[in-house]
Amino acid sequence: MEIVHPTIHWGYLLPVILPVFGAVLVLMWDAFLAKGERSVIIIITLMTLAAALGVTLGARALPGLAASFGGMYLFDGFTQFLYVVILFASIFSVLIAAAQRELDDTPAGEYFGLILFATSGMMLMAATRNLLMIFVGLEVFSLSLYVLAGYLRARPEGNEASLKYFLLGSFASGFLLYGMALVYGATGSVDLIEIATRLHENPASRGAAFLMGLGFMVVGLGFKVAAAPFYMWTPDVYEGAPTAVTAFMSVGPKAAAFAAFFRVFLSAGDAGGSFDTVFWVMAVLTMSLANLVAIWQSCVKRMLAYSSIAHAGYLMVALVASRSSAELATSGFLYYMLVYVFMNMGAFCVLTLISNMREDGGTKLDNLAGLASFRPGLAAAMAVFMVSLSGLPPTGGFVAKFHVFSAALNGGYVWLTVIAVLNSVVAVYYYLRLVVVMYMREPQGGVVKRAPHPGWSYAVAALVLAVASTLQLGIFPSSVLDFAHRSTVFFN
Amino acid sequence: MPGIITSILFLPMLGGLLLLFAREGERKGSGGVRAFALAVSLVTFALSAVMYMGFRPGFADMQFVEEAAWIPRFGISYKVGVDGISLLLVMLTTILTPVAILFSFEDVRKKTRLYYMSLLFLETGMLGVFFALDFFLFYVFWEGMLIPMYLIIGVWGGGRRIYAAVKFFLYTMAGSVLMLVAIIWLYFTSGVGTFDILAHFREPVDAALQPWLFAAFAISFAIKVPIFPFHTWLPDAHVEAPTAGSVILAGVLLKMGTYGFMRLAMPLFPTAAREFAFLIICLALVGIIYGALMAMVQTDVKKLVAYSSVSHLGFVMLGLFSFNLLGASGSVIQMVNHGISSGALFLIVGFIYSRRHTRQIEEFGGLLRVMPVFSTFFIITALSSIGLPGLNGFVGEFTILLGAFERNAWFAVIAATGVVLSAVYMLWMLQRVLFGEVSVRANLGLADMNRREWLVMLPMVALMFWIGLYPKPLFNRIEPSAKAWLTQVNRRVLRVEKAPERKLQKSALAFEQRVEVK
Repeated sequence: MEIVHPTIHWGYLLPVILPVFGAVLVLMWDAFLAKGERSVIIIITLMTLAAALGVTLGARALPGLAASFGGMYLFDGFTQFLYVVILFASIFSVLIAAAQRELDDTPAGEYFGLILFATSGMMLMAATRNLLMIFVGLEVFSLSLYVLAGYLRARPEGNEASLKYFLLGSFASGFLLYGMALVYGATGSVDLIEIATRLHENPASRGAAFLMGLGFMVVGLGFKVAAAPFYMWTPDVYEGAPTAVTAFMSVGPKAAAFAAFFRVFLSAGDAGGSFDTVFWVMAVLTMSLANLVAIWQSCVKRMLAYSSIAHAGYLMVALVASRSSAELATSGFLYYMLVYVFMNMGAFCVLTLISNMREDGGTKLDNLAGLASFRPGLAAAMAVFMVSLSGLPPTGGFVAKFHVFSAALNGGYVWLTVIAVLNSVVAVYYYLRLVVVMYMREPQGGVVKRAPHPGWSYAVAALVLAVASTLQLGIFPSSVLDFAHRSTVFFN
Repeated sequence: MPGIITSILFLPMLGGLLLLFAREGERKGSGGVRAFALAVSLVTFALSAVMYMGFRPGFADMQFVEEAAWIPRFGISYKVGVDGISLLLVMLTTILTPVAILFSFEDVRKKTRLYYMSLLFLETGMLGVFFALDFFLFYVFWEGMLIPMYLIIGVWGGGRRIYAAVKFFLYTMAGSVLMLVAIIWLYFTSGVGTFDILAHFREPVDAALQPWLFAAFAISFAIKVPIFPFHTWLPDAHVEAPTAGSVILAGVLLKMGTYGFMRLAMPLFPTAAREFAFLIICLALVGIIYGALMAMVQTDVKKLVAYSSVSHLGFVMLGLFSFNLLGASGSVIQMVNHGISSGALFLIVGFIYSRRHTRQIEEFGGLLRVMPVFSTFFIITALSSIGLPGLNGFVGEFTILLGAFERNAWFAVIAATGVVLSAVYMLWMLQRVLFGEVSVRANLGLADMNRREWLVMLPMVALMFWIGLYPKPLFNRIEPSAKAWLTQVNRRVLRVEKAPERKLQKSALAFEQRVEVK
């Protein structure tokens, strides 16, 4: 028997290889060379991620060369765009972590090593058409995040977060894997293209087992993107985890898991058609529940947790439309994801700086009172992020919503769009409450004068990048929109 | 004059951005910031005056059109232009902004830099709405200007400012997101493949879709106008906003609603507009009477003026939905007039508030003896708002009443009651505030208008007399566009439903002939 060597395009693998090497390097460095040298480790991490980002942006995804290892690894435009999203999320999370006072006395090597491992896991999950690789990627980043969620071991909330995330997460992974097994059983393949062909050729394979498999996969992936009704863990975990990790968790896993959603359900095609209704209901529930509950939050971090659930709902809208309006929906999802990185991580960055300023490290709404009078720059940045999260022009959030809603309307989902826009009115209420508190209230006590955190320049860099990108994506979106659309061309 | 609109449009924003580099002078240094803001707004006004001079009357088309690709993938372009309808509203904006800034010199003491930045950004937002010839661009300005207005009410407003600001924001936003859905829907269903507004005018919209799309646009605009059941945000916003905020809000922002009806909702969906016309006219009439009655019973002068806006804008809606030339051009004039008179009224209220820190009518009385100049200005402004012949208010309301009469005599009769009622509440208020004995001791020592206040009021009063005595140049500019608008609205009505429209067309034609004979 002839053994066929799988084609491998090493250049396309480089964006994933770099973070893995970086992680090993960071761990080794911390253990042997410079124990406790945070700044060196941070710089290594950043350089690794920046290099990966550079390689990704420099690469030209070509249809003929996309697949390595027989489709286990796939570098198409979709992958490329999501790499940019995930790497930016990772870079922001590192910049925030570098400026977070609470993390100062924790071991740096493990922390940044885990961040890099998680990054590579997310990237792998986005870059495959193989169900097993989806699962492997998911487990790689999930295991890293379980640890990271409870990284502040002294805090009971951190322990709670970690345990809760781990227990529920493993349960969800079980669902996902079981779903994959059922799909394999029904179709006889774990390769999505192969599955699509068999579904097409053999209608019998579209039976109950296949649909049940898809259903279980929806549960597993729905858990990771924090969509209703599988979002119960999110607020507690987001609140208990260190802010830098929360920021990362609110973006990275979403990008990866939605990528899997898109790949799986676009290849399932008509056979997955009955799930449009399921997604419709999930989208409406996710948006509405999260927005209504977010109104009542007095802790900004928790509010941002609910807000991130709500945004998962808007992304679900794109997923609903993905069959009837594939190109618009897919590129809308990509664009939304990229904007979401900047606006959401920017907001978390401001939050970190605020909690640095306070003795109790608080992130309550009242802790932001009068911020505009003593930190006008910080308040202005936060205002930009809130405006963008609300989806108001002239920010990226508006163009992103516009794009996703266009996809939904083009796909014929008028009522879904109406529900989504009305939801964004509800959301405006709690986002703008931050502006109210920062600009229209008087400052309260509790702010301590202390020397700026040594990592403040990282945070400033993150904020400048986030504000500039949020505005740029809102005012001059054309080139990135084109990139997003190009990224869907030979997808599928 | 290439690029003139772009310069007018973005100059205020540029000025606002430059203020970022100014030093925030809380007490002594704020002079630089405010002087700079005033200078920027005056240059903007000068540029818009140049545009006004260059505007060729007698042409219905868009003038000074500029176009550049913006988001080609969606057929979105940066396209701006001005015609007879938007020209006057642009002028109104560029006049009211420096007035509002000048008024704020003494009025606003805290966070001055942010304040003037907000005002300048707001000016760009408002101008953008009037200039935009692309749906996307229109929407960006339409929603973008909410944020500076929100800050102006919420940061520098009165006691319940936060409540008022949030209410203002949520009401407006709730309406406008539905418009966004309608815009995108229109884009996909029309087959025009672009967000160019003028291109959509040429392409009739499916009659079955029209009611839905019209309703989505109309709700958004009705909240902004505000038409009767959607008006509840207005008194709150007006009462809590700082004076300059009220001036801009009443003077320009409300016009964006009526302008939206005129520029977008009616010409795009004429069939639906006709179907809804009766309903909207009824609501407008209810608004006229209800606003006047509410104004009558107010004890707070500012609230009185706020309710009078509900009443006066009912006239504009009535004129628009009369579907004739008199109604249409009267409405445009009335938009401008209302901007001037209610803006001036809010300034007047601001003058007494800055002296006494109260706006309760019962706190005043006999001011004519103490402040004769102020009282004269007050009387002129109030008379202009009532619609006394010789002042601006008369020209607009009278033309609208003629138009309404042409459509249905009862509409005119009911609306005319509103005119009478407006005389009642205004004159009664004047009597209680200005005439009689000085009943409250604190009023005895009040200073009359100072030089800055003179400067603020003079342009307003000059405009009142100018428009009141010689409105012809304005009508010359409005009428060609209003005629074109009318054919747009009527022609496509004819295409879809024939019988009832012919009469209207005939009467419109008859009227056109009458105008030409004149």
